[in-house]
Amino acid sequence: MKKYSTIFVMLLVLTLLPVSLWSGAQPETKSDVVELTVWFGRENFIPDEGFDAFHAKYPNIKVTADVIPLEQALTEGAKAIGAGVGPDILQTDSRRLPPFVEAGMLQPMDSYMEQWKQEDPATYNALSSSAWEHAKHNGKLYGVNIYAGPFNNVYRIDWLEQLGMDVPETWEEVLDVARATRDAGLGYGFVVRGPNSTPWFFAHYMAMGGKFVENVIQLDSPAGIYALNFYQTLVKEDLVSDDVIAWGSGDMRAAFITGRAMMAPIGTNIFPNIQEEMKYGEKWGATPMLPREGYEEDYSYASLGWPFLVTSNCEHPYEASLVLRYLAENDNAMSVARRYQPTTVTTVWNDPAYLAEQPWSGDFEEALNNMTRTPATVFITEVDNIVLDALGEVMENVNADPAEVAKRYQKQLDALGK
Amino acid sequence: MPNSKTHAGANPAYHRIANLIAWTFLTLMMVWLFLPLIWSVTTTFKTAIETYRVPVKILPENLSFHNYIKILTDASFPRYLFNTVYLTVITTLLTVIISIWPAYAFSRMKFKFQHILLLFIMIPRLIPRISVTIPLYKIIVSAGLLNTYTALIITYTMTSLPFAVWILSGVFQSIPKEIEDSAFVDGAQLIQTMFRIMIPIASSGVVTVIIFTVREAWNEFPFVLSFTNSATMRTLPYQLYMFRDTLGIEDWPLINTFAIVTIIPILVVYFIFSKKVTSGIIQGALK
Amino acid sequence: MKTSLFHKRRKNLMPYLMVIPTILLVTGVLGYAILIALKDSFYKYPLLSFNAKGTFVGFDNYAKLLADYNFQNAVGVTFIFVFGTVLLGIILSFILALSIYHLKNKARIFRTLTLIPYLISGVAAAIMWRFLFNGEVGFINHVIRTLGGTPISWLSNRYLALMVVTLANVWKMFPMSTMLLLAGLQVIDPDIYDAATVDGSNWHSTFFKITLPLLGSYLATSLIWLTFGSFNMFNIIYPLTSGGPNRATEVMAIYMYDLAFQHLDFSSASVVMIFLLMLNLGFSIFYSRIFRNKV
Repeated sequence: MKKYSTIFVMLLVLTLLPVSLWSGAQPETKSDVVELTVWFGRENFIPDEGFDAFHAKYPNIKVTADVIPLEQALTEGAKAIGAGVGPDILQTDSRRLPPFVEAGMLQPMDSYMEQWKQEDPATYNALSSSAWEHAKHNGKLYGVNIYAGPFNNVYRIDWLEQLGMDVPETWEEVLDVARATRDAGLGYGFVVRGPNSTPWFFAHYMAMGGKFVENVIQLDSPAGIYALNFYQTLVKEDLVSDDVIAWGSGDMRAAFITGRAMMAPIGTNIFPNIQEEMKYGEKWGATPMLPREGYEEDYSYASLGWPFLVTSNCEHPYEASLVLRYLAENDNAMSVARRYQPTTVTTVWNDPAYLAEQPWSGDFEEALNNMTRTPATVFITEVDNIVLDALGEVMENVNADPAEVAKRYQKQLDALGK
Repeated sequence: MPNSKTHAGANPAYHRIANLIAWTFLTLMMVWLFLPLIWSVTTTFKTAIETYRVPVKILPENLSFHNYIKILTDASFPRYLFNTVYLTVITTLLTVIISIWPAYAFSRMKFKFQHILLLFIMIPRLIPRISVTIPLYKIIVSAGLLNTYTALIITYTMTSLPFAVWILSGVFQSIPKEIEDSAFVDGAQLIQTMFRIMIPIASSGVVTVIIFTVREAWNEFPFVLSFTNSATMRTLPYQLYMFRDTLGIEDWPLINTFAIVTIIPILVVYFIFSKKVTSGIIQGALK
Repeated sequence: MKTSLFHKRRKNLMPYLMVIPTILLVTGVLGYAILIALKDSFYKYPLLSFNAKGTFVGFDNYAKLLADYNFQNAVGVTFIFVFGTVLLGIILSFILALSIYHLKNKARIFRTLTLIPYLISGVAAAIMWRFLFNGEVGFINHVIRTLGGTPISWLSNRYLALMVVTLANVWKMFPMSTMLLLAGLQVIDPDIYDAATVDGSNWHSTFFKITLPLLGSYLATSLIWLTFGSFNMFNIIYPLTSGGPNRATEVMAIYMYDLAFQHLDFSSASVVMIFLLMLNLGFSIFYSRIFRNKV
């Protein structure tokens, strides 16, 4: 019997251990130390130095960095902020800003940003307009956007030479080059990802001259039908893989990187990966997204941004703004831009070390200054799903009429929120 | 099992053909069972870009353990491992300690509402785990247990109990009643009967419950995803999920390596006890 | 006398004392969770704020969902998926169980190996299967190409994708049903077979007239196992296809997850959960009716 009671006591202790550990894990709140939690959307967005320099400069502020993937930032953020245990700063894709603001989960930072401008004009003025545009909703500023990237048109220089063709400058020319590639048996003409994520399609739509009405995409506008038709043509005329419908972004990027495709829509962040396999300017080149012939004046160069936003759970907004300033410092933004996404900190763009590593950055400087934030509404998830259903339908059924499909799904889009 | 006593024993030619058919089936099934695993293991030695190259190479260009090194030397890996092991051990202990009693009661005693109570324990097995995460989240938030081991241990144990009770009561039932009749029964002696007689005889059932609970807790994903958001609380399956990066190229070899690394411990535990586990399931199913 | 009465009462209370902790944990917490979900299904919550007070909307959420084409699609896909898994799973389980049983101790190791897929987490299994059936760099298409065939677009064709998902699910689920059937086979008295052989009955009449009926309850348990596991399957489909292509593999569990964690529409997600629960209950009653005589 004694043996068993010993076992029981042991088990009891083991069971109670987590409870004690948990209470032990509760931070000892000292009144003079401000604790801030930052949710980064990717491990890659954390500067190389972390927050060491920040802690040295502000010994009274302690920053904890966690990584919550961008895809989950909205749901995890909404759950945690709603429960009062959210982070002080979170990073999300700027298309998800409207639902966050409308649900009252962020706090306006305009006055603190003004203070930043006065206290530290150097870092403030180094930021491009995208830094603010992506962090704004209904005229109010909720943080700062330090990283923003566009999708570009990448192509194979050596293959174009082989075919005796020029670098395409319109979507019509893209299709011509793609067809010639197919006919010559070089590989896929123009690879895209399947109907499982919208940013690429939105970028095409905007470049093709698509407009937004109250921030909602217009599938049944000429540009919308053109965009659907473009994706359908790629499938119909065998310019992409037969598997395209199941393709994720990785499949699409890898097809280009491993030399199986003539062209692809690829973000600047992937360029270093391409560079590992082929040399920029020799075997491959890149241009911003192209216009549609005859609609050049409607063109816009879509960009995605991943702003850092201050939540309504944050009790120390000024201290939070100091964290934002720190992240926007040249060296920190540079450390991320060198291995990951382009930054809105303009001083990085001309840094010789950066230029040497990313030879294309000079070619994109002007374009990067003229990017347009992809519009979104509170119904972003619903909008995305409807657009993907429409895109999926024209890509799966190559005989479907894009105009008819566009009309049908536009009705669903127009009904949102009504 | 007395081999010679089966129906096939009567006719040698028939027996040979039956054997051949059985072996053929068995071989095909095993290929089907292990193909995904083997393909995954070969992938772990490749580089990310290698897995996207056409034509496919079955074997890696050079045998490199870089993915394993990268995962095992990650500064946070010990933390994830500790969390997973800790949660698994506590959940398993709790499940076994709690489940032996109702299993015993249902298999050995007669009492009012017995069937309804059994139903109460068994019906929750029908509930999709993913769907209760939402209401459970609300409960956990109002109890202030977000980001705690306690919340995870309670929810893990709760979902493992029905299966444990099911297996154990089956095993207890298969123990001849006479064995315990001599010793049993009134309150004070119950614990003794349980530990001296029932559990040693039903050891295969207990081992089965242990393995299944370990499996459940080790692989658990929806709960840890929903009830924690701090990096210090992350478990191995959570981290496996975090590996995907849609802004880059999916590093399939690294993901596969992590998957293999998380599978190995549970397979090792299983192989140590495999004899008892298979017979435990078989006994548990006999009702 | 007094003590014996006390003892008697204690003895009567004993089983309840033994059962109550489990009931409290399992039924208490889960039951409470289900009640919350049931309540949510009749309420509407403001955007992203499911902790806020909702407004009572009656059966609006139900009506909205039933009219939604994507929900109807999910129900259809779920039934095909479950039916495919159960049918294929039970056939393969039977074949494997009979083979292992027939070979007796020579096949002992296979009994152990069979259970391995069941021990692997759904996420890990899905990652493996996705890699196996990848259109361009998957192993299956590599074999087809090597044999001179044309590669097949497994995951981008809606029917093939559903088939692959079902296969992966069977892979994960059937080890347990095999073990259950094996348990059944081992309790059948071998003398019955001898009698049958003496009677001169051939293998199929032996199988259908003796083996199957005697396996009744084990068959039922296997079927229940396969059915419920598949109705609620999420872990394997989500990482494998995310419900695609074009919702071809979007079962109810996936649809519910998307509603809850992508749209943060917990009310509609709760409605789907209630439907799933009713389907599960319906099937368990169905099975218990069918097998009542055989058990």
